[in-house]
Amino acid sequence: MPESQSNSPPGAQTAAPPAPAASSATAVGALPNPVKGAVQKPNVAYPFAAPQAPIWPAVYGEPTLPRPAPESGKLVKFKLNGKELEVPAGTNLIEAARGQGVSIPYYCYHPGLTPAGNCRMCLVEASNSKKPITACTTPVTDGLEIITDSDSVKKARAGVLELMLINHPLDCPICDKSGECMLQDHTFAHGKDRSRMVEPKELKHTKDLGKDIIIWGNRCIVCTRCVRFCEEIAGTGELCVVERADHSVVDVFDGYPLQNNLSGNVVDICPVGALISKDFLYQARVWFQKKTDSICTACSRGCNVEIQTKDNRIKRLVARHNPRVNDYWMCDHGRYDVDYVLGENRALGYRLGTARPADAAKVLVRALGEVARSRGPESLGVVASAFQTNEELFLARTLADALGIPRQNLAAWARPDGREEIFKSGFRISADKNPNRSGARKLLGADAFERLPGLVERVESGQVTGLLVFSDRPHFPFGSGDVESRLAQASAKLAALVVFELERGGAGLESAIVLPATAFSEKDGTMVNDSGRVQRLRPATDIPRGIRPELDILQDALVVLTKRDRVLAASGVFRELAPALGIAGSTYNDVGKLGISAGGGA
Amino acid sequence: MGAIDYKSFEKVLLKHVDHPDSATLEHYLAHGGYEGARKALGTLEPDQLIELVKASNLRGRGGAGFPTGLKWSFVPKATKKPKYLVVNADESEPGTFKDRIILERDPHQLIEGILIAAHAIQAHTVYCYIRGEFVKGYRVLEKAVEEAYAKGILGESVFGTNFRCDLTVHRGAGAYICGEETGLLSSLEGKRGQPKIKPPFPAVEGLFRCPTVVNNVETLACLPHILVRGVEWFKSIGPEKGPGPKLLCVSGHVERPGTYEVPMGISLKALIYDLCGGIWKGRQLKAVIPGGSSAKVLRADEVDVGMDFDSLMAKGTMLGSGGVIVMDDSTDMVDALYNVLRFYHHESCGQCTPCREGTGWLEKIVGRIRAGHGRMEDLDLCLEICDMMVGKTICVLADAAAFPCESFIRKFRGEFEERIRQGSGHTRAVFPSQGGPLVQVGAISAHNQEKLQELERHA
Repeated sequence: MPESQSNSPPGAQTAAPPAPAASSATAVGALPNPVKGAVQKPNVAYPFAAPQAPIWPAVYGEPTLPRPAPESGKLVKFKLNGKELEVPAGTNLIEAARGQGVSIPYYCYHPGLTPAGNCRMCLVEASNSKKPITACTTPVTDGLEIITDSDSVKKARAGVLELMLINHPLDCPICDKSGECMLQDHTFAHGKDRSRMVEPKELKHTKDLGKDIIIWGNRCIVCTRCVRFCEEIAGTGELCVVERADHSVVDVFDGYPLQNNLSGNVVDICPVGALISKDFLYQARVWFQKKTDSICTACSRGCNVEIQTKDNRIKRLVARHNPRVNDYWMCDHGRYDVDYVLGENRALGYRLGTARPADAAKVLVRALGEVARSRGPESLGVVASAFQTNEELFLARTLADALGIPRQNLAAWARPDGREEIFKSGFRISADKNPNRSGARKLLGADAFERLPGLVERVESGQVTGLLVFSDRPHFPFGSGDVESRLAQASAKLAALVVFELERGGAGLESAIVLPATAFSEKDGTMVNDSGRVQRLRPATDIPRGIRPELDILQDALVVLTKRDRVLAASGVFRELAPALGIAGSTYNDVGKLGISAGGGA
Repeated sequence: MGAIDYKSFEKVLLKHVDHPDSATLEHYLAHGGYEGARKALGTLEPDQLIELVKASNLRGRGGAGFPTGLKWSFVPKATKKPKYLVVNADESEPGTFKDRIILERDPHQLIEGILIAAHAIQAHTVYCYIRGEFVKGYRVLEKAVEEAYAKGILGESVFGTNFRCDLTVHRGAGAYICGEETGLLSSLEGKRGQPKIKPPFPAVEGLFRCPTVVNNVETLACLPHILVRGVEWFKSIGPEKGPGPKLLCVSGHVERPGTYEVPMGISLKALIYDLCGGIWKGRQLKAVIPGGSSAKVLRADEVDVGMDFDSLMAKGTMLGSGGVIVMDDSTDMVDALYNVLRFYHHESCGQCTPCREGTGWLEKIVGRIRAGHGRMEDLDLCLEICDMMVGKTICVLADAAAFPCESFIRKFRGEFEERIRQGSGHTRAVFPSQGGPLVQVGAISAHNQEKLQELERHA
């Protein structure tokens, strides 16, 4: 019986801990082949693929959307490199310049954190000061004039860079951050390629800071982004700077290691390779990775992420900026709980009796159709899941309608609630550990989840003898959970049980028709988060060979049963279901990378 | 400007310090103590007091020389936030020991100055941040504060008026950077003593984000005298733009080192050769640092200058905190510079890149030159590093490290070059000189020397 504990993902049976030291210890080549005997087709022209996003001059990992200007709304006159502009008063200079396409280099500034002004990289000439000022700590005031491209500014930048590099180890060949490192990018753009430092360098500690984070102190440039993050966003303040002068380095206090559930973000925001994730250590070079914008499915918040994969394996998740959902951050639960996608328990095989996998839809229709013919459509039921995309839910409902299944037999299930965590900045980890409960409610009815116990009773009493079940909740194979285990026990009575399963090991499936389900990184579709935002998942990994996604199988079944004459891609299905979400006429283009708000749907 | 007459100058700040009881309240009151504070609290409005101090042209004695009255006038009057007065008794500038004398021997003079300043900016809470190493000064000051509370000079109603003034003495813990005003405020707030970005200036947003004025001990000690003896008297001492009595701490190779109270603008030559008895042991003057180690050095031929803010600035250096360090011709300038740079490297807070890395690099380079492994290009490299540091940092510790480095190398370049050429006698330079020959590490044995010569012959 899984408990709702905070730090471990629900489902203690097969769960791996969120900081999977074990899995990162195995080399890439030692992971099991997803499908035995299948040939792994590389997904890019390896290894000379062009990077997906320009790495230079756009600095990797830096948010591409400017921080929204302050609410004052009052416009002031401001001169940037001689050009007259009008911007809202109080706009940060770096953002104001970014809005004009002028990039001011920086390390310690982050739009999501209070500015520190200690790296001194963003120095610009200003009309209100004899000495150069840091752009990140300066809000725009009326009549301010700044110059970002004069010789003295360039000299200042080159000077700061040279000084920053004198104690920085030449670790690029072995540093994870290489390829997405701000120090590399800015040195390439503004610095020199030679060092004049011949003295012995300062050495600092390499230390495990707790949870998933190691710090390579030698590389730390003491920008204090991580310190400010733990203080302001997480509110826990475990990190601090110790020592003085060039012995300064980031550390934790004795006995108080990094423990908060947002700790993975410090690796994202570290501008250099000082803070390293143990999970991702030495796993892949960033330029070999394929990057896909998607959303996290560990809870109903739906934080926007970028799934980075190499050779079809998820290497890591990185948070994407979405001011409406997750700002710049994501939690550790979602970040690290992805091993199940190609894990040992992944169900990859069809159990269709003597039929071929290509005829899976026909088998499904035949099994359920027989029950409908012999006992009537009231003896059929569908159990959808809160992990399915809106497209899959819509097709399940359409199939149920085509078979004539009454609404009360159309239920949905979800993972049990975990613990809600609200951090100092307001970032919330939802207690609802399912990504699409809202979508299921909108598409299957507001009481979809409440119908489940009734359906199970009808199975137990023999009223319902045919079930279509979507058992794709991670760490929750068929039969785990109170109500679900009763269903598993009663499954022996069913004449037809068709199960889409994600993880093997479910009880009660001995005589079932089993089809493999797709995982979140393989799905193309949308989900609705707990604030009613429709967000897009994009496929990041290929569906394991030989498997057809639920989207296709359900549409095949509909082709057999109804007048439907084609199998559409997910975007086509979305256009069909958009009215039900209250966004009739919207397409995937409208959903875009940041999602759209769903209206009140049918 | 004529030469300042220092011979007939009567001591003002150090008038009573030779008396064994000078630190007691009894002695202070018996000699007309707290009259200035009474006058300020009794007869002057805060605005009038600020105008008075502005008119006196009193400039801060902590190092920056900012006009005190002007600094007080920056405090916003219409604010609901409490205002704070912070006394900077963290005397850490190398070569400076003037505040120490006031703290240890005439603390009531300071307390009276505090009252006047507190009244001017309407601060009811005063913190005195005293350097942790001044154990004796702390004890004496604490006792003086107790005496003042007992006699109603500090506390709920100062001198029976409705003005409340609470003074807390807070000890530092050994960081030079906590003498920088915003570093001091950070330390007082309980955080790491790291300076804050200015603007906003402490007068607007300082301690606990409330308006704060930070004043040096000597500056505050001048205030009672201005109040009692008048602005005209004060302005008559030394140059008009920066007048008043000045405590100069002379250390180094003079016959009579110590703290001297002189009128502002006294000739440095007169200070060294007349008041301090000239260079000791019959030696010759080589160099003088006029304002604490952060000031640029003056050669022996440059000491004909008045010791005041503007004259020294015109000469390319600064009065700073008034710590005069005299070096005779036995001084190795490379050693002296290394000592100074080691201090700044140790004391850098590490917040911003140029100072954090630059001070360490400068120390290492000059240390290497001192040890005999210098290269000719190291001198220009040091000058370039100084250029990278000055004006690019959060506080001026980087400037304070770069000024001595740059001035020593510029003014005594021959000595540095000679040191580089000499090496240390045994080991040769190990670091590649651009375009130079490859040389061997370590002491070369006779046998290997022969081999090396053979190789060089055949190369």
